[in-house]
Amino acid sequence: MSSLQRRLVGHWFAPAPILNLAVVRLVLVSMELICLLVPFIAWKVGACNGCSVGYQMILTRIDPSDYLPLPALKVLMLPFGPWGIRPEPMFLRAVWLLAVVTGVTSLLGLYTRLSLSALAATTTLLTAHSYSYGEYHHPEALLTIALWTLVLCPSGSALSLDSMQTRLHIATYGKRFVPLRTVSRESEMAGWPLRLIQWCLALAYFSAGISKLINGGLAWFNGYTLARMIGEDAVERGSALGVWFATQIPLLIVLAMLTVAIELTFFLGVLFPILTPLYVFLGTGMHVGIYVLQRAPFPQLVALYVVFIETFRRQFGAFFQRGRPAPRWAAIYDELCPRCRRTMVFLDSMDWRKRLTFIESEGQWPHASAAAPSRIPDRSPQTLFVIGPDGTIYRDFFGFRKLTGLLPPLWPLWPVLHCPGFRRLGPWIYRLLSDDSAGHVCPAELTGRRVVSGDVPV
Amino acid sequence: MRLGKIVATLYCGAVLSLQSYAIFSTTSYNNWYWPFVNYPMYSSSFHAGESFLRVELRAVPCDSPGDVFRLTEDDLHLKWRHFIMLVHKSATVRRADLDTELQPGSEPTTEALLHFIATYVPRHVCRVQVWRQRYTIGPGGLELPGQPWEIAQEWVLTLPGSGGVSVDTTGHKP
Repeated sequence: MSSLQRRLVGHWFAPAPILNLAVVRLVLVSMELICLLVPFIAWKVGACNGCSVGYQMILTRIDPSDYLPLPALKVLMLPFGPWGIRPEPMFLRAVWLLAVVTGVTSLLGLYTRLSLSALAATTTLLTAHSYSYGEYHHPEALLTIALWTLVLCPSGSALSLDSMQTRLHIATYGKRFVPLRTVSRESEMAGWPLRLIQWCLALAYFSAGISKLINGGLAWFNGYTLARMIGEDAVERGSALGVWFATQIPLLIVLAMLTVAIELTFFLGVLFPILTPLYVFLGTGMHVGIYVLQRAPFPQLVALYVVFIETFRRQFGAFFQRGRPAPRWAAIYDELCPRCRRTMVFLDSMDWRKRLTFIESEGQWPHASAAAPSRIPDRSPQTLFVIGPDGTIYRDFFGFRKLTGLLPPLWPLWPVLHCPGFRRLGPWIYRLLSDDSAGHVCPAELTGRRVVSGDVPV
Repeated sequence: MRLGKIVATLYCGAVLSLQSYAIFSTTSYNNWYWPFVNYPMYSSSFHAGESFLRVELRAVPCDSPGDVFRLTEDDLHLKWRHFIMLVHKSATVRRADLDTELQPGSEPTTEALLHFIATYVPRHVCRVQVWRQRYTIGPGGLELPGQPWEIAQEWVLTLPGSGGVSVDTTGHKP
C-alpha cells in the first residue's frame, strides 16, 4: 500500500468513536423533526417549506401544468404509479405522518437503520415534491444527503434503544453485565460518514464562493452588491439591522471579502483539525448573520457542523473534564440475578455524567465491602446497594431514590420520591414492583448461586 | 468489514462525484438533480445608482373601504415564487413604461391573481391594488425612499349575484 493510499485510508477509515455517530444521528434527526413538527420554522421562517404538511396541501392545488417533478421524486414515486406521477394530498399526508413516526423512532434508535431509511425516503419525497413546481431553495439538500448516509453506517450502535436491547439480551442470556466504559466503542466504519458530510459541506461552500467570483467578479466586493442584497431582503422581510447594515459600505466590503474567504477555504477546516473550530465558528457566525440581516435561514447547515464533533472532543474534551472531577458512587448488584443485571444496564445507560461504578457482589465482594467504610449490613441476593462517596450505604428504594439525583433521565422522579410520606410508601412500592416481576426472580438454584452463610458482614 | 469498506468507498465516491458534477458543470443554478445542487445564490454583483422595487399586494374590502389589508402568498395559498411572479408582473409592466394599458401577455397573470383572491380571501374584496416603493443604492449604500408608496396597478372587482367575481376595470390609473 502506497503512502497516499495509507493516508487516504487513514483519513476515511481511521477507528472513530461510534458515540460521535450517535450524537450526529440525534442532532440531525432532531433538526428534521423540528422542521416537520414546527410549521413556523418550516414554513414561515422558511427552513424547510416541504416539511410543512400545510404547504404540501397548497402544492397539490397548483395547476398540473406547473408540475415539473424532479428525478428524485419520480424515483421515489415509482412504486406508487407510473413514472412522473403526481402525489395526491392524502398520500402526502400519509408520507408526512410516516416521516414524523420514523423520525421519533430514529431519534430513539428503535430499529434504527429501518427507521432512518424511512425517514430519509419520506423527507426526500416531501422536499423533492416541494421543489417540483419550479421553485428551489438550498437549506435541505445537504441534510438529506446526510440522512441517507446515516442509514449506511452503525449510527444506532450507541445512544439507542437498539443498543440497549442488545445489552439487555447479553445481560439476560449471556449472564454478564458489561459497563459501557469498559468496552471499546470505536469502529472503522464510524468515521467515514462524518468525513463524507464534512467534504459535502466544504464543496457546498466552495460552490458558493467560486460562483461569486465567476458570476459577480471583483464587483462583488464593492460593498454595493451586499448593500443591494441585504437591503432588498431586509426591507422585504423586515430586518431593521439589515437596513442599517446596507448603509455601511466599508463594513460591507470587509464582510464580502470575509464571506468569500470562508467559503473558498472551508475545506482547510476539514484537512487540518487545528483550524476546524475557527471555521465552525466563522461558518456559524456567517449563517446567523445571514439570518439576522436577511432573514434567509440555513439552520440545517449549522446543525451539520456536528460532524466535526471528534475534533472538538479531542481539542476541548480534556478542558471540560478537568473542570469538574465528580465524586464517584458505587452500585453493588447481584451478578447471578438476571433482573439485577438488566437493571444495571438501564442504570448504566442513564449514567451520562459517569458518576457510577458498578460492583458485582458475588465476585467482587472484597471490593464492594471496601467501598463502604461503615460496612454493608448483609449480602442478600437481589439487593441493590448504592454507596455514596462518603461511604454511606443506601439500600433498595433508598438506593434508587439516591440514583434519581445522580442520573439525568431520572431527575424528574427526584422531587416525587422526596415528597412527605414516601419514606414509608417508597419501600412498599419498591417491594411491590420487585414482586410484580416475580417471574424474573432468580432463585439461587436457577442461577447457580453459591449459597454463602456465615461470612456475611453485619 | 472489508465488504463494508468497499460499499462505503463506492457510496462516498458516488456522492462526491454527483455533488462535484452539480457544482462544477455550471455556475448558474443547477437544481435538477436535487439533493445534488450547486450554491450560486447571491452571486450577482450590483453597483451604486441601481434601484429595486418593494411591491405589496393590498385589498380593499367592500364593507369597509378604509380597512385596506395586505395579501401575502399564504393568504392566496401560493408558493412564494409564484406569488411574487404574479404580483411583480403587474408592477413591472407599470414600472417599465408607466402606461395604464396592460401589455400583451399579462392578462392571464391578472386573471390568475384575481382567481386566487376570489378563491381564498374570505372577505368580499372590491378593489385589489399593487403598491410599490422604489429604493436606490446610493453612494452611501441603501437610501431610504424619498417617495411614499404609490399604486402601481389597481383592479376594481364587481360581485355578481351568483357570487362569482368579475373584473370590471383593469389598468386603473391611480
